[in-house]
Amino acid sequence: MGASIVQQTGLLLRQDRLNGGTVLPQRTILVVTTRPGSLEPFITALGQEPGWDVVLVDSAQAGIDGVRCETPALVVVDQKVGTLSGLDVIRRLLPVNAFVHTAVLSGLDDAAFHEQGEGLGILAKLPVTPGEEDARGLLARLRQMGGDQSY
Amino acid sequence: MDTILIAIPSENPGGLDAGLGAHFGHCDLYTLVAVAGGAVRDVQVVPNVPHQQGGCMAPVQYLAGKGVQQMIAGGMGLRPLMGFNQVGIQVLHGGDARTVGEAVQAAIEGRLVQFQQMHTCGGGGQ
Repeated sequence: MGASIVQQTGLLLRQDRLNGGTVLPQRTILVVTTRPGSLEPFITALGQEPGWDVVLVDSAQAGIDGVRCETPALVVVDQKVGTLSGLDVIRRLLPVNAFVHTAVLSGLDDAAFHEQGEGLGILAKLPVTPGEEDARGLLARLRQMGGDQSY
Repeated sequence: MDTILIAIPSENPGGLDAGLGAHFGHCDLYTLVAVAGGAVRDVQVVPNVPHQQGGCMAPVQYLAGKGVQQMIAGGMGLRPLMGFNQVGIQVLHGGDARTVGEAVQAAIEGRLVQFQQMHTCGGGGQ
């Protein structure tokens, strides 16, 4: 297995970085969720891809900090993070770095998702509880977009 | 004399007399207009770049690579707007301009407003 999963919470991620503790490679997938246990098969499958690290954060602010400081190739946002919807979290990420690809977990049907997510340039809508196949499909789409290249 | 290169989403066949493309990402092509001293100095037409869902940064990078400094658009999503801002391309709202030439003239005369988040399409504009 070429990847590892780094689980941090909120400011702890930043403190580790500032202290020179955790050093992340360029090809990072940032997952913003407060329920990592429910997403374990999906997250594990993402992390099994050689060359990728999966970083977990549990708040929108930590996700924004992660995008600002780590330039992940992809951010996967849960359908709800704290008081914000996943789409609202993505709206807050874009002013920081619009070039980062995003995916969001959502229970909306396709028409409602298109309506609410229009203009956000989201790479993929995923099931609320995605599995291994969803992870593989997401990485395949990321490769198609050239998102597996280092920035 | 400083030259500014302006990109305008255009309907076929492009050029100053072409209609303004309704949405930057879905237009047929771009008209690139070089403006200096308040006058049009050069006009080129380039094709749009094909892209799929989630790939709306491709046109942003494409136009940045061509040295574009301003974009005039009638419609745009939040992500490309933020992308243009982040690569240093100023985005102006096309207002009621019907043709590329009208839009460029309005830009020269300072009659176009900055394209802001409230102008973006769909959910991104909320």
